[in-house]
Amino acid sequence: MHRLNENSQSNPPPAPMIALEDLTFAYPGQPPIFQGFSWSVEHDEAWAVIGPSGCGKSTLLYLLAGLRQPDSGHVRVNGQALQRPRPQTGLILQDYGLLPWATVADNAALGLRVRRFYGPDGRHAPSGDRIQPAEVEDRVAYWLERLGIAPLRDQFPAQISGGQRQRTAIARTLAMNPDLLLMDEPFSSLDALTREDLERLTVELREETGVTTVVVPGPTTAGVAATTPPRGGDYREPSRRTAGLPPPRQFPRALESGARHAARTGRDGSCRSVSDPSRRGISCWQDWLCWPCGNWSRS
Amino acid sequence: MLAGLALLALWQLVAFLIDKPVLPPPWEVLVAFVQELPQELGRHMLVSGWRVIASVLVAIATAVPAGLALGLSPAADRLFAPIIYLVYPIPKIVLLPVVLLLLGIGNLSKIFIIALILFFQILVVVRDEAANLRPELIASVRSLGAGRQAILRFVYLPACLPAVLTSLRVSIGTAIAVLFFAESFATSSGLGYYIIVETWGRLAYPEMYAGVMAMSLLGLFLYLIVDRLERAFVPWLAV
Repeated sequence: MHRLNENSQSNPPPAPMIALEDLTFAYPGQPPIFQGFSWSVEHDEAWAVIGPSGCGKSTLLYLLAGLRQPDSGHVRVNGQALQRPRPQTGLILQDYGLLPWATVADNAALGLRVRRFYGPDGRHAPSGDRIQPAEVEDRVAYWLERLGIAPLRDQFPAQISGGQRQRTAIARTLAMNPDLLLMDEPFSSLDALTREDLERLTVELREETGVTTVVVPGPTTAGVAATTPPRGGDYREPSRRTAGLPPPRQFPRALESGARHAARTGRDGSCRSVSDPSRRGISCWQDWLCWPCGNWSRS
Repeated sequence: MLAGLALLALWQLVAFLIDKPVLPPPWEVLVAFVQELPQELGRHMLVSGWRVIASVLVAIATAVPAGLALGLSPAADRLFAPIIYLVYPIPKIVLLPVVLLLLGIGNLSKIFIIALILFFQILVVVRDEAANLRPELIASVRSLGAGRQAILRFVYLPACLPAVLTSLRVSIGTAIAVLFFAESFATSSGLGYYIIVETWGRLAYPEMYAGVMAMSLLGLFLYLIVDRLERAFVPWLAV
């Protein structure tokens, strides 16, 4: 593996949080998205995955979540080979993740109720003591309060705003005490102000919980001009999984406001990652992986 | 309430204009209804009500699992969809003679024919509801650790409940119409029997209208039950 990690020599963790080994994955009838891909993420790291649309960023998260299985290679999370969704992994999607017929409080409690449904079997839920209804209530109340949506606890998803819905989704996930948090364009359907607000909140929550985070920040309209590829004549409209990969046109706001980090894919598919150590402003993510070439940069 | 009064007024008016025993005024019918209810009419009403409710329960108990199975398995749906499309538009009531021959003239044949009609209505909506759930929703619930059973319990069943109640609301009228038809011959109980054989056949018009009233009330009562259930179990659609 070709990663540049200065810190890992001095303080080596027992097993990385995420280890992808020689991963290959293709949707039926399509060229592979991953071929012999390896990547690893240490505990407590936060990564952003960027790249042109259709290049497999969401697929990466689905593989990490255990919702899809690789054609070959291994996905290991916290040292364990992943066969199915793992109860300690939280996944937050752009939208439609909440049950429309359940209130905010019931949605936030869903993960814990699923755990109660199965009992501590070690497969669907962590082994140990069976979680008690009172504890479900307590944890949900805590996270609703922490995310500022406690007054909305009896509302249905259709009655609240998109930002409040994503807060509910975050509460639902954090109530399960995850050690790995995966976010797939979590805030890209929100307006700019709400998005910045939630990005800031996510950074805070990450610092509070120390949860390892992999996020696909998603395209945002802000900053498109700043990231126009250098040679305008070479630019091609991004298309799904074309062989000569087009340059990513849009960059996540988090990266952009973090000041001038750019990763561009050349026409030959190679990636040039540029990172500027003098980052300022809001920055959610310590590291990012430029998809699809697999280069990364670190702060 | 106002609608009911207006209906009574219209009835009174028409009865007054026609002035024949075939259309007695509402008051006479009301008297007949109250007189008959503790005797024969009440018994027939209970029998009919029991038959409809049993049919509804049988239809739900069979159609919901079948609909979920089809909605969850595209392969099974591909296999059965042509059969369903073929059978769905057949007016199942024409099968009544066959059902009577095969299942006899007792309760079983009546419950069967009503349940059969409701079955397809519920089956189709449950299947569509299950098949149309957003994959993101399923993925995010699976990511919470939910396997097949939990997804069924926490996602599919609550998701298809409103569709089941809506299809019941729509088909209760049909169910009672079919019941009336099925009860109107080869039986000795039920409101259909009461209206056709006991009163119409004897030219006892006020009693016949009392029977019609009883059937309407049965329909209204069932409709109100579905309404109640909707309000209790589907509160998010009301907001």
